[in-house]
Amino acid sequence: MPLSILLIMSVGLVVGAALQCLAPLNFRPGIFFGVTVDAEFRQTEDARRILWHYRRPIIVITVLCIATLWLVVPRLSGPAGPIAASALVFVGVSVAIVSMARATRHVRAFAKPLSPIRTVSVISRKRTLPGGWLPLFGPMLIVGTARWLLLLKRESMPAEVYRAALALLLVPFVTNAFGMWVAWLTTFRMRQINAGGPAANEESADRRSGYWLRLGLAYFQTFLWVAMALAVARITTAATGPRSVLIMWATLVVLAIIALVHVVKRRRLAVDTPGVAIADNTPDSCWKWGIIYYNPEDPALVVETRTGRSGCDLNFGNK
Amino acid sequence: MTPTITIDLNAPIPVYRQIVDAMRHLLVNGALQPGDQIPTVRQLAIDLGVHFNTVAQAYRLLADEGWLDLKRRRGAVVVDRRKPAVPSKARQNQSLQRLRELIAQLQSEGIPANQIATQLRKLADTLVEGE
Repeated sequence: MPLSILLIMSVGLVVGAALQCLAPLNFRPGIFFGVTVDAEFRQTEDARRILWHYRRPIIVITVLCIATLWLVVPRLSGPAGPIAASALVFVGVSVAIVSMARATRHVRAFAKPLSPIRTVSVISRKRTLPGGWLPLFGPMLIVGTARWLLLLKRESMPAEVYRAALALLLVPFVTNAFGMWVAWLTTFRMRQINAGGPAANEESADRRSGYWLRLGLAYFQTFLWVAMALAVARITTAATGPRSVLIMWATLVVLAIIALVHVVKRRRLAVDTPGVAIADNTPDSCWKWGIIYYNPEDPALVVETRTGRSGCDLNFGNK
Repeated sequence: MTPTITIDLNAPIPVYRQIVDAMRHLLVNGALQPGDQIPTVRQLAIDLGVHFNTVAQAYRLLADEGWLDLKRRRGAVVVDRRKPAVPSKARQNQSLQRLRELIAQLQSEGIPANQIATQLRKLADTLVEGE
């Protein structure tokens, strides 16, 4: 296996482990490893201990994976090398998932019962899509334009090439349609947790930045697929060559930095903002592994995610 | 300040009744003014985590009392409610009976009579000041 591949894989493993270690910082106030706790729980010794117990296996397994990658994988021949390298990545991710599940189990001992008291604002909040509808439809417009270009050049390309390019365009079409539906749901059909004051503003700001982040990713993946489709159809060569790879990676890095800054900024704000609502009124018992929400009693179709701050989850029990 | 309502899902009082009482309190005190747009049935139900019908029932009751103008799919708007005519003697007695029952309930829950009296006096003072 070439040295450059080993180097890229090592960097990937380290970055992956770092992201997994930092992931718990992204929980909303009052949620820790997907469990409802007191807002101050994070500052306690117990929380630090749980956090360390979560991070330790990730760090250990990453070091072991990298050592194996450099010591064992280069000695393997044929397809065994790439298979072993992929297996190491799989092991790294699996350990992180198991560690997360263990941490969740430990935090349950400190879980806070859900309060039956609900306070809500009775003044209708004007809900609008940040930036209006045009940025939301942007990725679809790009896909539509690419489809139109393909249609124009249809006669000058073999049928199988045309079909392959269309198939590539189908991916951003489907993901963007789903993304638009989710954006609409999170904007107009999501629960307002904080009734008013700075906490409500913080919540709205959180949603807006989450929306822009998702939209940025939608544009990124749309450009990627459209460029590939047009390259397959030989309409443009933008998707091939080292320059496009560089642009792609640079964009990814910029998006990752924006996401990180957003997380850190919101985290500081959450600490400084008084009266930020604790948790989200969804019972812990209705969450499976912190990612699947099933509550037939809850009229909300979308609820805020437990494992992050700006995401959303579907209520699979919604009637 | 944003007008808010608070309900207790475990309280023996039905949720729709709690919503009506809390909103009526805001309407009487002027926290909600004529022309104010209140959330749609769907939105309030989602925010509170209760069934749509519960909120719809509460809104219907408030609309029957003349506080709200219900608009399909566009939520409800607070309307300028004309001061109702002085209720009949029977209706007044009925309301007073409800008040006595409430006081009896508070006493049965262990709240001392003098504390209830103090609170009632405070409320009465606020009521007279507001006239």
